[in-house]
Amino acid sequence: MELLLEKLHEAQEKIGYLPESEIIRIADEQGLSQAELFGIITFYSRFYLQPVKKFIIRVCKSVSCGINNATDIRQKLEDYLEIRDGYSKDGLFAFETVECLGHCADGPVMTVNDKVYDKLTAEKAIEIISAYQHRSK
Amino acid sequence: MFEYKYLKKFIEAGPSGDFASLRKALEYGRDNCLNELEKSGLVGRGGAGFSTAAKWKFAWNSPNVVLICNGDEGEPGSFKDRYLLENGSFLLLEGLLISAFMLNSSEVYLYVRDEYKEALESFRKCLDDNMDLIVWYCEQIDPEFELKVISGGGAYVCGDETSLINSLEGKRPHSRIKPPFPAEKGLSGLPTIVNNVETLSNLPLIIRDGGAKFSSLGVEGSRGSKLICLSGKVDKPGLYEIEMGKVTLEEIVFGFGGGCSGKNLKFVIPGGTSTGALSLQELQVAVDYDSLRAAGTSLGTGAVIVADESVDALDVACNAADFFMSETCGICFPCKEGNRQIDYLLKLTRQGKGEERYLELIQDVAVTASCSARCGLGQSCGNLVSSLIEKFRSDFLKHVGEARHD
Repeated sequence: MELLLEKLHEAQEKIGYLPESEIIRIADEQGLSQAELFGIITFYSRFYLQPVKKFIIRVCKSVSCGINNATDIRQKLEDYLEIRDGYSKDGLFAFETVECLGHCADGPVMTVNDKVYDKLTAEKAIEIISAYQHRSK
Repeated sequence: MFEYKYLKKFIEAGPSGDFASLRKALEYGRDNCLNELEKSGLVGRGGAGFSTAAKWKFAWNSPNVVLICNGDEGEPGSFKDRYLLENGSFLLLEGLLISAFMLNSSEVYLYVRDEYKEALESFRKCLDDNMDLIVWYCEQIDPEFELKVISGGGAYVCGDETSLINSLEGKRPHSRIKPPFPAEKGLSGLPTIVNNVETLSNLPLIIRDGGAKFSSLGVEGSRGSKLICLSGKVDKPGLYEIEMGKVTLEEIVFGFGGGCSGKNLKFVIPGGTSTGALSLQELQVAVDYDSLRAAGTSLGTGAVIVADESVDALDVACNAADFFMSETCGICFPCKEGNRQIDYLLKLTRQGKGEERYLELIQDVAVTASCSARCGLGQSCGNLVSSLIEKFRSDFLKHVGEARHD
């Protein structure tokens, strides 16, 4: 039997996020109310209720990376991408600061669509992101 | 300074493909295996340090035991389970099969956090590569056997076993009141054993070498080796393995880690964000469960985070408070409201709007949460913040002073 978590991952992988129609379908299948399922989905940080941008940048803000200047990297990236309400001005990126990504020995760390970039400096992070911008032109 | 490589030696040697420990376990039978596990003195590596054999004995005579391997490693500073999954999947797979055999468990889950894409991929590939072994196990031992790899949804609290069980059941993953303990009544009401990735990765070694060999390593109460995740302001961060009780925290930081680039060390967090910090003067403590407990902190997951003199204790406290506030599941009041208040008071302090009495207030709230919260998250949420206030009070008062001059 497929577990709820598996169903949610499967739907999100296929569609890119979890639209209302999927919530209705899965809630029905699971015998949950839509409100209950909504409550479950929003508890987790990795499910999205809105379409996501082409790239999701996640910058780690936990203690190890924090000690190694993650805040500076976050700020400079936010400035560079002109982040507003979690999105970049060019519309390519969603921008999140997240808890520990488990690469603490190589911090500070960020991921772009789950690809890990470690030992970051602000300059290096901007260089990586600008490469994504160039490739998307 | 040399590493004591026990688990790592196996992993670095790579898969032998013969699964000799599993075969040996099957020959021994489950009771003899439990005897070896008991002799080994293995305790859980997820943070609580509870005896694995004692936990298993609660469910030993129960039918339909569910086995869950907890790979939802979210403790800031910890990355040992990721290392084990990415590099030692074959060892964990063998550990899972031995455990399933010993516990008579047909329903086995490996729950890995969704952030660990490479780890998930690596374990799934290992499973594919060894499908003939699984088929053989099903034919010879348990036709009902099924191993499911589940990726989480992104929630630190799922590292708590009862929250993890709710997550697997498709519920909102908040913690449950204990008792009943999972070993008695867990997933779908069935007796459920939840063990950490590092704990189960030790199983093949215990069966191969015998419980006596394992318990000859380490010290009373902390047998075997332990993976240490070293990070922060240290020259050579990385994953190191130690024999427990035989190395001090100072040796880990300066011997393995090479110190802090000539700067003065300020404090060390020995076991992740849930554990209290130790100052430079306190680092001569042996790294094992009891010694660190006696020093007023905990080995936790073995995530050693180093801070040098450039680090502001209030910054670290704010970081930890923010973490616990966003990761509390919100089901029990002391943790939900306590973490919100700790975060609020620390932020006020950082903004220069604090008062000295806030520091006592924060420590009170932390003690209340530790005494009354349901699960490990709430019980340990105030450890780091309290220890920093206690040991680096001036870092906090400095900001209170700023407000007065405004």
